[in-house]
Amino acid sequence: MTDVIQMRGVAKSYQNFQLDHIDLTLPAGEIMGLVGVNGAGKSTTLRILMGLIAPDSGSVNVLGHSLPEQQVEAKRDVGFASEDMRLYKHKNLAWHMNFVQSFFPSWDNRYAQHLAQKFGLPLDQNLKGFSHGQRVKAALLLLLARRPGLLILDEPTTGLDPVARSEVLEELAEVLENENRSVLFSSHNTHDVEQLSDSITFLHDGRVLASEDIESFLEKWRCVRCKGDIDPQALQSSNLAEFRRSGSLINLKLDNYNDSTAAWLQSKGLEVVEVLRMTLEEIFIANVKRGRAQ
Amino acid sequence: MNADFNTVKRLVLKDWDLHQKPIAGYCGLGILGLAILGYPHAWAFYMGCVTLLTVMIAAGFHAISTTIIGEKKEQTTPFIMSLPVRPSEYVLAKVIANCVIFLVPWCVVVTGVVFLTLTTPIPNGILQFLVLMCVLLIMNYAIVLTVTVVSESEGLSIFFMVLVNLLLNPFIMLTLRNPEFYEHMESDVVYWSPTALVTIASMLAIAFVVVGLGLWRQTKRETFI
Repeated sequence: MTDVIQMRGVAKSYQNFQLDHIDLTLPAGEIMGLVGVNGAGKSTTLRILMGLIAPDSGSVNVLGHSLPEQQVEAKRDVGFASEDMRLYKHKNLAWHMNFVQSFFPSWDNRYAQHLAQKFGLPLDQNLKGFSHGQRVKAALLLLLARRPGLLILDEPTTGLDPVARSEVLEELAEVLENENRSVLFSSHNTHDVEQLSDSITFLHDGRVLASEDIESFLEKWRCVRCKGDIDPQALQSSNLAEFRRSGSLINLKLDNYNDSTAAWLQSKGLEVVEVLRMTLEEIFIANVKRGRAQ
Repeated sequence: MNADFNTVKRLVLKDWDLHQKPIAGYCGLGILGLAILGYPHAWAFYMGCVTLLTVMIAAGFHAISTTIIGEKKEQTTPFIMSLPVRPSEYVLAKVIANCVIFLVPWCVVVTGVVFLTLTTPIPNGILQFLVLMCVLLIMNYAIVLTVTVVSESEGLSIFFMVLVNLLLNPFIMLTLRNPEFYEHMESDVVYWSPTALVTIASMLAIAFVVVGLGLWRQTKRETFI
C-alpha cells in the first residue's frame, strides 16, 4: 500500500508556537483523524500539507509530489476545506460551482446537484444569507464534487448545530465508503473522529503524542481502579498517564495495558478492584496530560 | 516566472466578475464629472477636474482594498489557494485584475477629457496638463498597488495612498509655474512641451518598473498564506 501523505521531520516556528519535527504517514485508502486541543498545531500541519505554508525544515510529500514546490500537481487531486476558509459572500453557490468546475476536469455536476439537494442548499442565493452550517456544507459540496483522491479537512464540523453536524458526518461517511479515497481530518471532537476514522494521531503543543489505529488505542488503554496506599513515585512508568486518589480508591490511567499489568500493580501492594475500557475522549485527555507532564 | 496563462485568466475573470458593479459605478461617476467639466463656466471646469481626480483615486483604492486586502481579511484567499493555483499565478492575476479594474474608469475619463478639450470651448492648450495629471494618477496607483501586493498590509496601503496623493498639490503648483505649461494654457492649439513628454514617459516608466519589481519579488514566493 502506498502512502498518500508523508511528512518527515517537519518543523515550523512562529513567535509563540512551534511545530516540532512532525512525522506523519497516511496510507492510501485510510481515514485518519488528527486530534488536538486548540493551538495544538492541527491547522498548521494541514496547511503545510496543502502547500499553503512552507515548513522551516523537513520534507512533505503529498500524492507523490513534493510540497510546496509541486503544490499545483498535488492540489489537482486534493479536496481541502478548513474552518476559517470563506467563500465569496456576494456570489451564489452556482457561481462558485462554475468557478471551481473551471479548474477541475473531474468535476461531477450531477453529484454536485445531488449534494445541493441533499444538503438543502439554494443555488441562487448569495452566500451572505447562508448560515454557518450551510456555508460548511457548500464548501464540502465544492470539494466533494471534484471527486478528489485525498480529502484534507480542517475541523469540518466545528460550530455546526447537531442536525447539520449529523448531515455532514453522514455524507462524509458515505463518501468514505469509496476505498480509493484517503482522508485526513482534524478535530477536537473525538466522537466525530471515532465515527469516521481508521486511525488517530494525537497532536499537542506542536508534537505528535501518539499515532495508531483506533482499535489499538482502545485495546491498549485502561482505567484501573485499585485499593491500597502507595506513593505515586513508586508507580512512575512511561505507561502511567494519570494517578488520582478518589476516597479509598486510586484511579490509574494506563497505556500499554496487558495481562501482566495487574500482576505488576499487585506486586506494588495494590489490590485491583476494577479494570475499565476507556473512551477515545478519555484516551485523548490522558495523552494530553501525559504530554504536558513530559 | 512559472505561471499557467489559463489559470491566471480564470482568476482575473473572477475578480472582474466580482467588481463589475463598482467599475460601472466609477465609470458612471466619471461620466458625471465629464459632464460637469464640459459645462461652459470656470467653476464647472474646476469642479469637474476635482470630481474626475476623486473618481480615479477612489476607483484605484477601491480595487486594491477589495481585491487584495479584502480577500485576505475575509479569508477567501485559502479558498483560492486550495485550488490548483501557484502563488505566482495568484500574484500575477491580482496585479493584472487590479490594473484592468483601475484602467477601465481611467480610460473612460481620459478619453472624455481629450474629447471635451478638443470639441468644447475649453482651450486646447490645457490638454498637456490634464493628460499629465491623469498619468500621474497611474504612477501613484502603481506605487500603492505594489506596496499592497508586497506588504499585504492595510495600514501601509492607506499610508502610501495618502502620501502619494498629498504630492498632487505640489505637483500641480510646480507644473503651473512652469512657462512651458502656463504660457500655452489659454491657447487654442494643442501643445506638447518637451518637459511634459519627458515627465509622462518618466512616470509611465516608474509605474512599469515599480509594478515589475513588486511582481518579480512576489512571484518568487512558494507559499502565499
